[in-house]
This record gives sequence, C-alpha cells and structure tokens, in this order.
Amino acid sequence: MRGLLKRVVSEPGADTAESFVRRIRILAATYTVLFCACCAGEVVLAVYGKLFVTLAQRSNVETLTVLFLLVFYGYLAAVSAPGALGAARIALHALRLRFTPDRAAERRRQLAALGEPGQGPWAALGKVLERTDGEPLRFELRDDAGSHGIIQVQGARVAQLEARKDGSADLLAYFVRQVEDVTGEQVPIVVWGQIDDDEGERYLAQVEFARSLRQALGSPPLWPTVLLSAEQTEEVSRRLAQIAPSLLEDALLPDWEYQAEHKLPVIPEPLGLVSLGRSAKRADPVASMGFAALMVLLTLAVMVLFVIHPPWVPG
Amino acid sequence: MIRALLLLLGLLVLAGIGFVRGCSGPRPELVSARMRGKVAEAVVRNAGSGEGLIQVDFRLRPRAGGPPLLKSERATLRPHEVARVEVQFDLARGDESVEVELDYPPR
Repeated sequence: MRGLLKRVVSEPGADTAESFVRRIRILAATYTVLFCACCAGEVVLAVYGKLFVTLAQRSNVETLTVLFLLVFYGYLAAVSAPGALGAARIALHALRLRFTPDRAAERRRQLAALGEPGQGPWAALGKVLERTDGEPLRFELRDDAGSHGIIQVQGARVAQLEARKDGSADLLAYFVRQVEDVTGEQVPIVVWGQIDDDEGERYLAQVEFARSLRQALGSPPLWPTVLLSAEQTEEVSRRLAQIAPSLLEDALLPDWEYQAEHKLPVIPEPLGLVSLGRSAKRADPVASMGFAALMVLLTLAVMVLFVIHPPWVPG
Repeated sequence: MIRALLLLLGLLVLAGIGFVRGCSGPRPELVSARMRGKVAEAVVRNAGSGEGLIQVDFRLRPRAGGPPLLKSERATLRPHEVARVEVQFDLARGDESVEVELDYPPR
C-alpha cells in the first residue's frame, strides 16, 4: 500500500525515464482538463444560476453551496491557468520542432526563452550520500539544447541548482529512486524543502553535526551513509541524461507542491468519534491537480445532469 | 485497489441511472396557447419521465397596447403526460395575444 501511494501520490514519475516523461504529459493534460472544466463549471453556474438557486432552496441544500462552487471553480481555474498555458506552449514547441530544419537551434531558442536559471527545489534524505573516492556528487543535466541545471548532493541535502523556472521536485524524486536502484540501498526523502523548509534545515543541521563529529573523531560514518562508486555515479549520470530533454517541457508547467491528507470519517461530525486518516509529506501535482480535476469533473457532471434532468423537488 | 475503484465507478454510474429514472422532475414543454373568451388556455406536455409541480405563467398582451395582464397557475405533471392548464381573466377582452412561460421547479 505504501509503495502504491508513493507511486501514485508522492513520486509518480520517479521509476523510469519513460514514466518521468509520461508524468509530464499527464500533468500537461491534467492542467488543461482542470482549467477547461473549471471554466465550463463557471459558465454552467452563470447560465443556469436561477435553476440551481431554486433547487438549493427547495431541497434543503444551502444556497451558499452555489457560491462555494463558484469560488472553488474560480480558485482552481486560477491555479491551473499557468499549467494550461504551459501545456499550450508545449504543444506549440512540439509543432515548431516538427517543422523546423534545425531542431537543436530551435530547442536552444526554446530553452533561452525560459529565462535565466535560478535556485531549484531541494530535499533532505534519510541517509548521507557520498562518493567512495571523496569527490563531490554533482550531476549536470545537459542535452543538445543546453544545461537544465545541476543536481548537487551535500551530505543528506540534494538540490537542483541553476534550474529553469524554479526546477522540478519530481526530478529530485527521480534522482533518488535511480540512486536506490543503482546502489540497492533504501534512500528515503524525509523532508521536502518547498513544503517544510524549517523542518528540513533543522534536520540537515543535525546531519552536518554528525558528519563534523565523525571528521573530528576520525571514526566511521555516524549517520547512515550510502557510498557510490565511480561506476555507480556514471550509471546515475546516464539515467539522468535520458530525461534531460524532457526537462524543457517540465519547466513550462508550474510545480505546485502540497502535502496530502486523506480522511475518512467513520462516525462523522458533529460527533466525530472515529475517523481514519493517512497523510503524505508531498503530493505530486499529478496527484493533487489530478484529484482536483476529478472532483471538478464529477461536480460538473452532476450539474449538467441536473440541467438535462432536473430532479424532483417537493411542491 | 483498481478493482475497488472500478466497482466504485460502476456504483456511481448505476446511481446516476437510478437517479435519472427515479428522482427526475418533469420537463414541461408548451404545445399551444390561446384565448377562449375570458379564459387563457395552455396545453403542456411533460417530455421527461419524471413528475412534479410546474408553474405556468400567463401574460396577455392587449392588441391595442397597454400593460399586459398576468396570472400564474401551478399544476402537477405525471410522466409523459399532456395536460391543459386554464386560467380565467375577468378583465380580459378575449382578443389578447397569449404568452406562456413554463418553470420547473416553480420559483
């Protein structure tokens, strides 16, 4: 169950290069569907407002529900609008690439249009990552278009530097999953910098304390440590190179980072005696926006059903 | 997990079909409207399979101009029923043009 939740909610595109690329396409489609569905919801509510107000008044449903849906659709439309625009730009870029004689030059132009690189996301790992030869762990993400940034590991901190458009947290998840795959060791991400930076800094300070103490004592690693050989580092670099071209598309989509909490009230409020809950420290935009899209489509379907087949109400 | 989700989806579809069959209201459509002396008459058809109370708004416009005469009537329609709704206007001359609006649910 935990693995399934991780694959669906926390790190949906981290398994393979193909799943990373698929995640970007799904995310682009999700943003587009969410934005269009929200706009459609607003239009249906505006056009059939009298019907819904009457239905609400006559069926003991709060009329405020109509206003709530208006605000709900408006908020999600605002959140998904940059994503829908990004999806349109991805489609436009793909069209241009198809018809241009010089693909590399076109990709360089598209990368340059993303603006200057800046600080990307970071995360804290449950274990320290080091190379066996003591060299720093840095992986440049480069393809024929240019550089998409650098993944740098310092102790238990993994960060994307020189990232385009704020980078991608899922890139870090992909990197860590590949390290796990190559080394055969479990390396969990315990804190996401974009979600809880204070907690992350506190945790990393403890890790740095353990590393400094180890140096001072000249002892074996005090904090759980995973060592990467030169061959393993090379293999991780090769796997990162496989996804580098898709980072251009990824940068066009906004990276909304949320925590996720699922609650099932067994005995609901106002008693609220028993409820089941499960939380994830990070919900990938595919999961959070996908679920939002599902809810919007569901409510929209119900509203359209009410327009086509108005429900019976007491006279 | 996937089986459970598919089962849930199937239940939702069944619930939707059940709702449409069992809990729909009427879909009133105007067939004709005319004046018969001082009585305005509207023939209404329920195009849906549901039943419920509808509101029929009559608006009589005098040929010579002036303000229209208004009156509303409520009626319960059964599934696929064609019904005649009549309203007496004491002040009508009988030559007014009739406009009818149907509302469900009644407002």
